[in-house]
Amino acid sequence: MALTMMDKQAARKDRTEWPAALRDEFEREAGAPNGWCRQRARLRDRQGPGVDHPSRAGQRFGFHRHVLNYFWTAVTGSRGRQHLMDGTTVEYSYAPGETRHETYGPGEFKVHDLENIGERDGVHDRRIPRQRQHAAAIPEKGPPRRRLAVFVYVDTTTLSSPGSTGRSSKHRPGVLDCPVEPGNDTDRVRRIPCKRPKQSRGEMFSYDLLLNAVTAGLLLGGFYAAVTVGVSISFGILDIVNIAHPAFIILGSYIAYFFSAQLGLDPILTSILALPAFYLLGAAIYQVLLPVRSRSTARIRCAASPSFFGILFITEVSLVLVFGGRLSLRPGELHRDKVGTSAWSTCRCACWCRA
Amino acid sequence: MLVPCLMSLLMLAALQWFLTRTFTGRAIMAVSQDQLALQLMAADPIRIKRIAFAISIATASLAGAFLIIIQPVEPSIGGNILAACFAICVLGGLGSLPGMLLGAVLLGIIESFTATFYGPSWAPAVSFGLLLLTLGVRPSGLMGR
Repeated sequence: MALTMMDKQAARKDRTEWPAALRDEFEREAGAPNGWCRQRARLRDRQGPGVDHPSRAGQRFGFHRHVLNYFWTAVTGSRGRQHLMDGTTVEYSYAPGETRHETYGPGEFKVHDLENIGERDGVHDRRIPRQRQHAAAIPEKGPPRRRLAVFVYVDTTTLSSPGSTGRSSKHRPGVLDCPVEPGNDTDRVRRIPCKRPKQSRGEMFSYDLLLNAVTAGLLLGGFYAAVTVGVSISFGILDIVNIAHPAFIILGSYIAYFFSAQLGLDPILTSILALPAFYLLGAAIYQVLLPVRSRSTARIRCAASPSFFGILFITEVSLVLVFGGRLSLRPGELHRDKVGTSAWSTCRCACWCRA
Repeated sequence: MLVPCLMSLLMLAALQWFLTRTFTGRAIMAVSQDQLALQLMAADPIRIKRIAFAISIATASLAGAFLIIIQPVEPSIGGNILAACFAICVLGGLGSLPGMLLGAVLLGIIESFTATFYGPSWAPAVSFGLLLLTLGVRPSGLMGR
């Protein structure tokens, strides 16, 4: 699971009285919410992706308000001090590569400020589209070469709809409408030197992309070959139109999933161990369901089709019944969807018809 | 993605060796052509067919493991797989494993190109377009008999 700020251990945390200037600033923010996200969203709409914020050692971002889901990644190590809205003063150390996710429900928000108390200068960066995240690590043009990004922030609320230009108001209607305060520290924003996403089709044709596509295609082809070889044997050599073949493949997937998730076995090892069982299953199906004594291939084909339809439906429905919907070996992608009752009854009807 | 690809090539090589170098394998290739001649060679066509069909089901076990390594699986994706399978079979030529491999790689590359340059939703259209084209221009497939 993604780590949040809740899991992060503070280097120092206390409730000492804030200086008067700080209290004033906090009060001002409460009166006129400083929507960090909205502000950046507007700037990005105007300037294109890759808006960043220079952060020198000792520099401070004034109080601002988070309302959108986002995550940040520390690109270099640093140390920061925050004043949170519950009155605490917190100091955190950031390790390079550290990532935290923040989510906000409707109406939820967080007000804080942030001061870079480390020794390194940095670029405080946010709202970079996924494919441009690396751009934040590019040193800025000009003399101060050591100015690397300290943080990369990405708003996940707006990223969750790909292609959107980050109009946050569309996603969070009425949560916050804040004026941009001129002269506020967060308002000084500079564009990072990165390319815009390519738009026209002619420009899209790069050799990297081509090479990627060929490699992916070759790998996909290898996988397709494994999937097709069974159909190739039964349909190509034996003239049996085995439309239930995908059902057996999915059965194989479920078995591999079950053994690797429950017992920690390698999925491919599991499938190799399952080979004899599948062999026997195939032999049994051939012997029982097909009119093997018949000489006419046409008759075999006619008799085979409904049998395979039946196998297809029965396998699918039993897999759904036993294991549930969608399965994945990759963590984070696993969703056990509930299958709609209508789909169920259709399948069941089909099975009964067959029976 | 690499491991499933290599394993599948290994499996294909083993099957190709089995089908062309062993008696049972050659009998499987022969059963589709002339059953009577096969009987005269002292092989039972029904037994041979049963072995061939069982092998074809057994390959599904491995293919299933590759599938779940590559992507999340749900029972309803069977239709897509079936469509791609038949397109590849016809494209490569029925009954020829090298042709099938060629067709699979060709379809894989074409689908990947379509997905990269025009969008993933076009991929099935292209595979079926290819199937139609093959049936119209060269019904026997790339390496068909």
